[in-house]
Amino acid sequence: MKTLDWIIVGAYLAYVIWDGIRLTKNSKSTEGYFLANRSLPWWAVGLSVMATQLSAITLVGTTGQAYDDGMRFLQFYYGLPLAMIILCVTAVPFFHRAKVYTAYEYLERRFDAKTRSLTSFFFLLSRGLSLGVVIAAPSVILSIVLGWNEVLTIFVIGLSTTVYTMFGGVQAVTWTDVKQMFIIFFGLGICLFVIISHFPENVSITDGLFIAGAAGKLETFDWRFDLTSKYTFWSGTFAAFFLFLSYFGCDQSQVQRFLTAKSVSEGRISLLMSAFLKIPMQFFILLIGIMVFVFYQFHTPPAIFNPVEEAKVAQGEEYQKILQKYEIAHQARQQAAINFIETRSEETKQNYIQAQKEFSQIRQEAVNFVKKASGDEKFNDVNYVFPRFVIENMPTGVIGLIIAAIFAAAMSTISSELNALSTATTMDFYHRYFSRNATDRSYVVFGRFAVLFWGIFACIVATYSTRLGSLIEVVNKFGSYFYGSILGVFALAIGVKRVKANGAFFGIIAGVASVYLASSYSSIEFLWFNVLGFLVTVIVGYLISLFPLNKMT
Amino acid sequence: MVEKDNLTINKAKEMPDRCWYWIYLLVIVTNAILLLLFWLFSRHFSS
Repeated sequence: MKTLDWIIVGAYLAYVIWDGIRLTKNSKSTEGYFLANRSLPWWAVGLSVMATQLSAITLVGTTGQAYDDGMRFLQFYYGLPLAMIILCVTAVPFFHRAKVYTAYEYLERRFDAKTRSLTSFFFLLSRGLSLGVVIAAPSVILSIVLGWNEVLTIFVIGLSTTVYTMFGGVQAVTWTDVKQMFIIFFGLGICLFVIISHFPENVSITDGLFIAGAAGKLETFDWRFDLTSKYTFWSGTFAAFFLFLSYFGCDQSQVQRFLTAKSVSEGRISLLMSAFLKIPMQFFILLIGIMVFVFYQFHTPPAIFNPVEEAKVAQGEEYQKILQKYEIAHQARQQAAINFIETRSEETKQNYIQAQKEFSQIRQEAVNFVKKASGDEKFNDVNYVFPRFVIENMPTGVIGLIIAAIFAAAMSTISSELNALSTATTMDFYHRYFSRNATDRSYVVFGRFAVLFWGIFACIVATYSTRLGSLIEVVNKFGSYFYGSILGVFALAIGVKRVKANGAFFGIIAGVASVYLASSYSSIEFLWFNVLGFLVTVIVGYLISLFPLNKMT
Repeated sequence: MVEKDNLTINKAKEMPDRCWYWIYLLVIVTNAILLLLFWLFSRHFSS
């Protein structure tokens, strides 16, 4: 990174913190601090909803995934529009008219305090830990690719976000989210333009798309019904549908976004923004990964994108032999790609497909070599593809802009989650059990300390999760234990009048337990856990409510 | 009484239900067309 890049990243950080803190004056009351006095316009809330979901690892990871696996990941979002419509009909008017601060508050009105507290506790546990991963993932990648100090990167990202969230409350979160979305897409737009301008003179975007298509990178539909396959049409439209219902409808980090809207209508439109824009937006991000793939048809890509792991094996004789084969395979693939572009005949296409296959096999050989050398069977360098590409190929200034965009993606998610963790801690525990009639000021002060606590907690979790690489996967799985079950308890609350408090309470425990058993003793992909948790919670909750004992509660 | 007044003001700002049915239909139709375009896009460049 050159001086100009540092200036851009520094200016971004300074502006975001200043912009967030200056909204402190609008956050003096409880409702102002946690819900922006329910006064925000739909477009700001809608952009905040999208910014919260778009984390840095989504930005960096999905571009890398498109490079490696193509556009299959797009299927993950096919169930989102329908989920948003259902939430517009149910959750948005429900929570808005109930005048709640947290989604879990409603569970006490419908069931009892223990069901509210348990659900809120599950949220705090899973979100608190996953927030650590949200901070750790980009920090690890940036520190490895740019050679920054890992712990320092974690604390710069984590604490700078904590500072403006702590003072400015939900207003700071929303308005900085809006600006961060513009920074992210401005950065990505410039990046796409620069990638395409780096194509050889006789290669157009259409040629690039034909190459990607021949390599099988543009598949947007996989119709196989396979529970062990991560991204298929069925897992995206059905299993992920439950995930989105739970994430947008029962997770405080998203519910709090639409609770800040001026009215039910504005809350609904803010969610429908995602229903209209999320799939095209994800397509655009994946397209950047595809264009990186095309770029590397004409420039030798690194065999291993993680520079630290690459450096460890680089001097070995065996690895050097793999690299020689890799370079030859790249040259052959490049020539095959040029031939295919020039003639676009079936024969040249088949030659290119064969060359691409041989190239992929040798890259896999290099990856397997690193796996063996490092002893890490789960080694995967997909997340390093995009940052490494940016650092090695983008001009000065654009590098700073992309790093600022990655920071923006991380911070927009972290701020919303900190804000939600603080609201749940304050309203579901402090207000509920310790101080029911305190002043506005005391709730705001407690809320600020809660943000600080969760910010420091998440930074500490982030520091540990980088040392124990597999913990990232453990925490991701851990989060998916709860989503389906939390959705189940809300479905019982809103949709099944007969269900009583004990049914809901033991239903959610059974749901979480069933997902734990499924993850421990089966190879079902994690998206299906949401369906399982939901069904078990609803069925067990309903059956328990049939017992006469529940008439008392 | 204050609550009731607020409720009246809020209700006046809301869009009528029948508008929402058309908006939801628009979301479904737009996304269906979008997925069809993606399918055509991937078929065109993969053929």
